Amino acid sequence: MKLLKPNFSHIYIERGAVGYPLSKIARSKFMGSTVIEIDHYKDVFNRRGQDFQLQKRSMKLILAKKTEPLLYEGSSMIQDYNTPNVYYNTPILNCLYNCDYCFLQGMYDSGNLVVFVNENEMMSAIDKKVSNPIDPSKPTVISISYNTDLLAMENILPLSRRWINYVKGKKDTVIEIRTKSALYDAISDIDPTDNVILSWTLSPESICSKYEAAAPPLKRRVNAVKKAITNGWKVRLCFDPIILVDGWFDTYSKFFNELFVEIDGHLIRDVTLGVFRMNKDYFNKIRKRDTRSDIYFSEYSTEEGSMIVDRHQRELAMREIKNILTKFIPENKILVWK
Amino acid sequence: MQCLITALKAESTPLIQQLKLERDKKLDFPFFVNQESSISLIGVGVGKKHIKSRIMEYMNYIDDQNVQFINIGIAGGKRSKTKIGDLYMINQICDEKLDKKYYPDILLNHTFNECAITTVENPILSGGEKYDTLVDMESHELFSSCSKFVPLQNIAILKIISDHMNNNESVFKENFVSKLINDKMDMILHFIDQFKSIHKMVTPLLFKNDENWIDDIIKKYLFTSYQRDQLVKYIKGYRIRNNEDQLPKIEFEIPKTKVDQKKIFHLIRETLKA
Repeated sequence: MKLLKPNFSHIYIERGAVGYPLSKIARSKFMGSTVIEIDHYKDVFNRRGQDFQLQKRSMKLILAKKTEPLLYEGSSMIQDYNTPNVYYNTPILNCLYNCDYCFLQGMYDSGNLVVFVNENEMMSAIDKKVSNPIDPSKPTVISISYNTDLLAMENILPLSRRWINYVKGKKDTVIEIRTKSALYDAISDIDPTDNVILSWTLSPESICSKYEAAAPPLKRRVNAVKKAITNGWKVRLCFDPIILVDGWFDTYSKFFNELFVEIDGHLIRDVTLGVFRMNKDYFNKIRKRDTRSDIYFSEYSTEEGSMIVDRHQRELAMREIKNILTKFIPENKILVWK
Repeated sequence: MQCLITALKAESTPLIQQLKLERDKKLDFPFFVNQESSISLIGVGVGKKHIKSRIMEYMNYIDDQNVQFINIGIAGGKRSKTKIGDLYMINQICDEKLDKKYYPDILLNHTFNECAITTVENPILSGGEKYDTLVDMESHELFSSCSKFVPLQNIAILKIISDHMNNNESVFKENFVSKLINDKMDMILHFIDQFKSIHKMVTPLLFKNDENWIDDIIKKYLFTSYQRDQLVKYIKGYRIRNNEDQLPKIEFEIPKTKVDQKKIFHLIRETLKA
């Protein structure tokens, strides 16, 4: 018998969330789980004295109703998408994966997952925002997978599918589903649509195995990307964060050279690039929790409340990486974070 | 150290015997310990009254922030849902007079049934129709007090059904309660042993020797508390890069000026980063 309970051994459900279709699906997927009714998700998710990393080894599922705000202004940590109408929402808090460099470990006290089941209200909030954009000449872009990996959950809860169906035909709304998942097959029957950006975060295999240990290996992600492209999706590739390990130039050069043998760069919608950066408070919180990742013990600068690779070093790295990428992708399709 | 918490003498006696705990009179209330197995037991009496102060005294005395608390005791249960002698792991703790609820972090793969519990002020003797949970007189205060000292994963509450919230006189007989505990002793001991493993999964990055190394350096070179924090950060980085290697020997001359001291700090930092 395993020492720890399997993931989702316990489902905590807000009384007000019980009747929602997503709650029913979640409960039906985990029939053997202990179900505990709660007043508010924060009673469990925000408890004092939780151990994020320990909980990651036995994650619990919390089903709740999202209240205002249902939509947030785009984070300064993401690339400029050439439109001021950029937002994100949080269908799920926390992620099945647990990448070393992820800000979620500093943002939340809990390693458990919260799924907000009132998706229709979140969708209505987007419709409302789209009807009154900052720049009416540009589309409104919503990142729906900012505080989670939505596609990674698809076999448990068909959230990506539901969001794609929602946005289909809405010409002024674009959603981005960013993922490291290999679960493309779970949505491969859906017709591709231009206003859904399927984005895969890819890293050299050595980076994947060291810093993204719980996520699928590179090869499986690349296969998912290839299938999505073949089916007609316009895929975004995210090389973000670029981790400046010793010999990073050679590591990333080799990675790109091999990757673009498998993937035709001209079929890619665009790519995003960025070095490791994190809100300073999150960074310090993670380091205080005795993280075992060397990422938190490298030298960084502090800029506008963020821990970030020194400006000179990151500009050099971004320039070099961009130079390599332009062999495969038109320069105007490369979005660089600062 | 693991700390079992009981309310009644009849609950503690079988555990004391089985775990070979010995009375330690350093604390002014029932306190038993077996240093070899690193298990202790404190008695808190019936109800909430002494819980907070005894846990606080225990924590002050034991001087260990990594204590695991396990409450083992009896509770009343609904006749339609429970049987006398059933053992439950508590997963939700309510109080009849307070809104605040607690949720123990259940990570260990135990095999008990789970249940919620409500802590009440007075014994329920009229069948407890309005209670859909187990009922006791301590859990809420226990969880509240213990969680001020230790992380959630270090607290567990096990309850054995002793009555159906009726006027069952056997509950007040010591032998009856002790027998309930004894009948589940194997399961309880197995749990205590397994629970220890959770504790082992959370190990600090720095070893005891590292802490001593820092203390010595701080003392020797009169570093400030800010410099101490910085040093801890560098040593953690060193520990990640060098696993179990000894920290390097630092043998600089004692600084005579602040400038010298800063130079030495810089040199130590470079040594640790190398």
